[in-house]
Amino acid sequence: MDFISVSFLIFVIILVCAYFLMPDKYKWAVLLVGSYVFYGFSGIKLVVFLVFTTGVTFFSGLLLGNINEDSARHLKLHKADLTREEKKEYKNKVSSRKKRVVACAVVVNLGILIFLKYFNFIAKNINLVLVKVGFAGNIPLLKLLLPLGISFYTLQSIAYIVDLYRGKYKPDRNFFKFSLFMVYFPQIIQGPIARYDQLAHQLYVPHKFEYTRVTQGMQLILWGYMKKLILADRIAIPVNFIFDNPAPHEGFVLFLAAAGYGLQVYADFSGGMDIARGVSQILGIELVLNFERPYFAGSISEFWRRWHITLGSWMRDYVFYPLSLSKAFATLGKRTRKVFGNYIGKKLPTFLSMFIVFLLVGVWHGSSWKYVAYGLWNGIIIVSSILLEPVYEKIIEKLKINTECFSWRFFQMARTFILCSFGRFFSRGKTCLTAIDMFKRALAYPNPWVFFNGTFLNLGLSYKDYYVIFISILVFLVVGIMQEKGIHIREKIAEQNLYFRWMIYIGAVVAVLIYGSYGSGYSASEFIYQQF
Amino acid sequence: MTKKQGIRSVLFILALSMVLCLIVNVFTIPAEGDTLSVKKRYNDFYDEPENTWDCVLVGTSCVDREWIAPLAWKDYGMAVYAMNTDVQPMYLTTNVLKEVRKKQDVKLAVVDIRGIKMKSLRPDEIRIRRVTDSMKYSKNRWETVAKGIQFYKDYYSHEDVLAKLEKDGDEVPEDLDEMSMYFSFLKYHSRWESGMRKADFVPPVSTMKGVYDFEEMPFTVEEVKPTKVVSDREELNDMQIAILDEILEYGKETGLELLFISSPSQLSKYEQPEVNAAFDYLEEQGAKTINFNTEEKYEEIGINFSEDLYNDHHLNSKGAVKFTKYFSKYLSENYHFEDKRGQEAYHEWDEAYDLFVAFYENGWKNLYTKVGGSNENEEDSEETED
Amino acid sequence: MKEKLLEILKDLRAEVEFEKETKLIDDGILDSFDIVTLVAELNAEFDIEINVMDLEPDNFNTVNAMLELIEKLQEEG
Repeated sequence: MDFISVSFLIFVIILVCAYFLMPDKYKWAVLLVGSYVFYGFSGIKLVVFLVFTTGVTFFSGLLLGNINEDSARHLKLHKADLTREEKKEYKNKVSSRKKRVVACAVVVNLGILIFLKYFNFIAKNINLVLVKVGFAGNIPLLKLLLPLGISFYTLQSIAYIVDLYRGKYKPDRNFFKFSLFMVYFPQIIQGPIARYDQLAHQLYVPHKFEYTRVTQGMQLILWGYMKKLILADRIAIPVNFIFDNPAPHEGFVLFLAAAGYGLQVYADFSGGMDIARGVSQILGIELVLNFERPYFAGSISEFWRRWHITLGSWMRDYVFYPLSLSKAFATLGKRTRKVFGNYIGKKLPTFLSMFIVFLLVGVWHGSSWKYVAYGLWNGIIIVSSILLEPVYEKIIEKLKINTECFSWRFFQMARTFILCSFGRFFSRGKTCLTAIDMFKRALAYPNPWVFFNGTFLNLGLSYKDYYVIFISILVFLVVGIMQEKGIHIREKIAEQNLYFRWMIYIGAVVAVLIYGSYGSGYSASEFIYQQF
Repeated sequence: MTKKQGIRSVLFILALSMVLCLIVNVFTIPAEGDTLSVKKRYNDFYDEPENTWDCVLVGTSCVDREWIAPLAWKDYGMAVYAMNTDVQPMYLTTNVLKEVRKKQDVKLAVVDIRGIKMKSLRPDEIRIRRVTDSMKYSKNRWETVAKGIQFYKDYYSHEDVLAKLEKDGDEVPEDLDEMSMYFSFLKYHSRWESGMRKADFVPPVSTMKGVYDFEEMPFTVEEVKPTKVVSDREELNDMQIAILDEILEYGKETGLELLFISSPSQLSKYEQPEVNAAFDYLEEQGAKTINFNTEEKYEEIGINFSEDLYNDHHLNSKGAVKFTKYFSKYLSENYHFEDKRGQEAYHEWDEAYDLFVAFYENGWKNLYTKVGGSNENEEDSEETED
Repeated sequence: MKEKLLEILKDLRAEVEFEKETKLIDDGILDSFDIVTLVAELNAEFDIEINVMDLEPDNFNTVNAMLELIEKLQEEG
C-alpha cells in the first residue's frame, strides 16, 4: 500500500480507531494484525519470507538468551572455584557456541536477502566472465520477487541477533509480540531500521489517546505529504525526463538533474519518514529520526550522519566497529604501520573498513554496478578528506581563511551539496556507464546560457511549477534553519493564536490538494474550444 | 480529550470542510469554449424556480444553438429549456432527464438523436465530463459517472469499434481515470497553472434562458452546402439499439412523453444512414418522431443554407429564430402547454425576451461576420461532428 | 594514566577541550572514525582489549568515563 493512496489513509483511520477502542491488553494485537494486513496488501505470497525470517530470528534469539543466562549463572556459581584461565576458557567456549548460532541465523536471513536481491546480478556477471575466458555463460536468470521491506527487516533481525550475542538485553519470549517488532507497518516499507531496545517495549505497552500527541502526529503526517506531493513528485518530472534520455543534455542541465534528484529523493524519503513517524506518534510510539536536515552538512561524513541515519548507525554498530576492532584488523594495523609509517599506517585498516561500509551501503541500495560506483564515490571522498586533512589545514592557514564565520559554513554546505549531487548520477543513472557518461558531460560542457534560453521550460514543467518548487524549497529551508537552532516547529505553532494556527493547518491541507503533483492532470489543450 | 478540545476539533473539521467545499467548487471544469454555455445553462437550471418548465430539450450541440426559449415564451407562453451539451453522450440521456426532473416536472422531453451515430457515441472523456462535471454531487451524478465509465469499457471492446480501429491503424486508448471522473477535483486541482478566471469564482449564469451567446457565433454566416438527402439506412448495432431502448423504457416507466427529432442543419451522406435507421426503429416502437433534415422540413421551416448557419452543423441565430417559430408552433398545437404569459412567477422569462431582442439586434448590427464557404467540389467530409 | 589519555586525545583532535566536554559522543564531537582510532591507541597503550560491546556513549562521553573503562578492563584482564 503506497503511503500516497486513499486506501492507506482509510487503513490508518480504521487501525487508529480500532487501537484506541480496544482494551489495553489487546492493543498490541491490533498493531500486529493491522501490520500483517498492511503487508498482505503487497502480495500475500511474499509474507512467507517475512514469517520465516521472524521465526529464525526469534528462535536463535531465544537460544542466545538461554546461553547467556546459563553461562552467567554458571560463572556466578563457580566464581570462587574457577581460575582466571578456566574462566577465560569457559567464556571462549560459550562465545564460540554463540558465534555458531549467530552465524547460522545471519547466513540464513542474509542469504535469503542476497539470493533474492543479488542472484541475477551475480549470475549475469559470472556469465560475462565465463564468456570472456571462453566458456559458455549459461547460468540462468531467475524471475525473483522481492518481499516488501526485505532490505530493512533483514538488517533489523541481524541487529537483534548480534545484540543478543553481545548480551545487550534479554530475548523476547513471545513469538507474536516479536513478530510485531518485525512487521510494524509504519516502518516496514522503508525504515527507520529499529533497534529492539528502542522500539519493542513501546509497541507492547498500551498507549492512550492523548489530544496533543495525536494532533501533533497528524500535523507531522501532513508535513510529510507536503514534501512528497508538492516537492518530490513535482521535481521528479524534469528529473525523469532527463535521466530517461540523457543524450541531448549536457553541462548544467545534467548537473541540475542530478541535484534535483537529490532533492527529490530527500523530499520523498524524509516525507515518507514523516508520515511513518506521524502515524506512530498518533499511536503513541516514537520512531527514531532517519533524517536531520542533511543538506546542512558541511562534509560528506557529516552528510551520512544526517542522511538515512539508521542505516548509518546500523553499519557503524554491526560492520564498522566489529571490523575495525577485530583481531584481524588490529594485526593488519600493526603491519601497515610498519610499512607506511605512523600517520597513515595507523589509519589504513580503518580506511579499509570505511570503504567496506560504503561499498555495502551502495550495494544495499540495489543490485547494479552503478550502486557499487555510488558506494565507491562516497568512500573515496570520505577517506581522501581524512587523508588530506593536514593539507587542507595548511591551505586554510596560508589563505588566511576564517573558519568561524557563516560564509565558511556556507562554503562547506555548498561544497557538500555539489559533491553529493554528483554522486546522484550513480544512484539515479540507468546504468553505471550512463552515469559515468553523464558525470563527464556535466563537467565537460558548462553551458550557463541554459538558464536564460528557456531550456528548463521544455522538461515537463511550466514556469509556474518552478515557482512552486522554489517556494517549497524556501519553506523547507526556513523550517530547517529553525530546527537547526533547536526550535520545535509543531510546538512553536501550537503556541500561536488559534486563528493563526488554523490558517496554517488549513492552508497546508489546501496547498497539498491544489499544488500536489497527482491525478491525471488537466491540460488546457484538451479543453480548447472545438468548433463542431 | 477534554470537552474544550473536543469542541475545538469539531469546529476545526467544520472550518476545514467549508474551505474544502469552496475549493472543490472553484477547481472544476473550466467555463470556457463550448463548456461556457453548458455551465451557464446548468447553473441557471439549479437556480430556476421549481416546476416551472413545460418541456426540456436534450441532445447534441445543435439543440441550444437552434432553440430560443424566450421567443417561444413570447409567442406561446411556454417554458421550454435546452439541457443539451456538446456531443452529449446519448447513453447518458436518461440521467440528464433524471437530473432535470429533480426540479422540473416537465411533461415532454425532446430528444435530438443525431448523437446515435457511432462517431458521436465515441466516449471521449471531455464529452462525458461536460455532463458529469456540470452536475451537482448527488446519487444521480454518481450513477452517471459509473454509466459513462461502463460505456467506455463496452465501447472499446465492441467488435465493430475494434475492427474500425484496426482498419485505421489506431490503438485502443487508455482507460479512464475513474477516481478523477467521480471526484473531478482530482483532475482540475492543477488548473491554477493554466490560469483561473472570474468564471471559476463567480459561476456564470445564463440570462436569456439558455440562449447560446458564445462570442460571435450566433451572428456568423457561413455558406454551407445544403444537405444532400439520402434514404440509405445503416443497420444499427446492439449498442445503439440498447441506448434507444433505454430511453423509450425510461419514458414509459416514468410517464414522460418523448419526442425524437433530428435537428436541422447539414447532415452528410455518411451521417444520415444511421440517423434514418434510428428513426425507423423508433417508429417501429411506436415513438413520436420528426426528422427535420428532409427537403420538406427545410422548406417548411425556411432554412436557407447560405444565410442561416454559422458552420455546417449549427444554425446561427437567424436560423434559430426560424426554427423556434416553427417548432414552438408545433409544440403548442400538439402538446397544449398552459399559456403562462402574465403570471408573476414567470417574469424572468419576460426579461429574458427583452434581453434577447436587444442581443439579437445589437449582434447583427455589430458582430456580424461572414466566413468562407465550403468548397463546392469538396466531398462530404466524414470528419465533422456534432 | 590521565595524562597519557589526554595526550592521546589531543593527538587525535587538537582543537577539542576534552576536560570540559561532557557529551563527546552524543554531540558528535568524536565521530566513529575517531572512536576507532582512539580505541586502537588505548588498546596498545594500556594493554587492554576494548571490544564492540564497550562502545557505548556512556563510556566515552567524558574523559572520566574513559578512565573508568580503562581501569575496569585492566582489572578484568
